[in-house]
Amino acid sequence: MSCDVYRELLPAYLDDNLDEVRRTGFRAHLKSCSECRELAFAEEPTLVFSLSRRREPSPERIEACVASVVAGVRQERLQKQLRAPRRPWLAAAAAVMLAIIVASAWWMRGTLPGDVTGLQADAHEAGISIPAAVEAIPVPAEPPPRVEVDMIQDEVRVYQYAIGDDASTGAVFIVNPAMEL
Amino acid sequence: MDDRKVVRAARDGDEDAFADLVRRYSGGLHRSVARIVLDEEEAWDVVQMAFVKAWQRLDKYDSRWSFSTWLYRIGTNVAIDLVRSRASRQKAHRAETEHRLRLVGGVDEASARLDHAEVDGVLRDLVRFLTPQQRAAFILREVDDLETAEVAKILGCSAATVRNHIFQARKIMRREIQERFPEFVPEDQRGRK
Ligand SMILES: [Zn+2]
Repeated sequence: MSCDVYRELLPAYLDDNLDEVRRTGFRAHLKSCSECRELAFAEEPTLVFSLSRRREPSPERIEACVASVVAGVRQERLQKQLRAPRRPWLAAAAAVMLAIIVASAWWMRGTLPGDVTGLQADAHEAGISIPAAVEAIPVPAEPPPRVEVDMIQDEVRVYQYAIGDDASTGAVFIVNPAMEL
Repeated sequence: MDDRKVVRAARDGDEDAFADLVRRYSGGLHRSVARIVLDEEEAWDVVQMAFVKAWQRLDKYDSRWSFSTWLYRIGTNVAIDLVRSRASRQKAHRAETEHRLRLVGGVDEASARLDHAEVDGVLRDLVRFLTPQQRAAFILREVDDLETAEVAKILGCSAATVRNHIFQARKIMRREIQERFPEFVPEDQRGRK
């Protein structure tokens, strides 16, 4: 097509009345023909933005984006699991069993384990998984622990205090109510 | 693998499939969003947020839509909300402070005016005079060259509304170009509104 034809297309382009094929042809011609471009810019200066080149982000930037999205998706999944349909009585039963296991472990060893792997092994033997063991601090053998089970909304918490009301030495287990038993 | 298959896999919980979609579309979405929010880094935040939202809503995705249209709709909405919340806070955002750009060359030096970085800078300067909807319509249609029907889907309005947004956007930007960048306008037309 000659320049004249393209020049006649300008008003239709601005009114968005060109089909996509002619529109693409028009834009391509403006990119390659400086005379038509000049005339078109004089008529409609904002056309300069229609011809700006595309800039591609670096592959590293894209991968950084992928990583953050995947992290976001995993967090979202975790939250969804925690919000999943619950059977609070099951969770409560699990919490009580857990408390019993912890208490017996206490009696047998005389101490609350410094790390939670022992507890997890015990729990595993009893067929229970402990999704989150927040804190476990070694405490003296005596006296026996005081255990409290608390349900806060959908979460079941097991508090185990080493000595009386001293909450600074103790362990808290949060039982995920959504977990399968 | 085509989008629909990848989307189906992602919907079944395949994170790698979803990561593939991010690789395919994050660059393009970022380009559009950056021109709406006028900040490269914030635009990446918008893109990430859009993908996480898309993941959350994958079960509601209607496969009659192309995935990219659907994603752009989510991303554009996040971007528009961001621009609006900025405006409502009346916060002078650093991206909205005026660039003092010198454009090289006069009317005859068309190739100089197609200098990518400069044109982008001027576009940034002018776009802030537009409403979020006008920005989005102009950028998606005129700069990114999406079809009007697709832009209408993305913005959730009619094709006529998209055309009207673009018409208004051109009018506002023309006025600003004449005031700020008179070198862009031929001498015999300066002062013409
Ligand atoms: Zn020509």
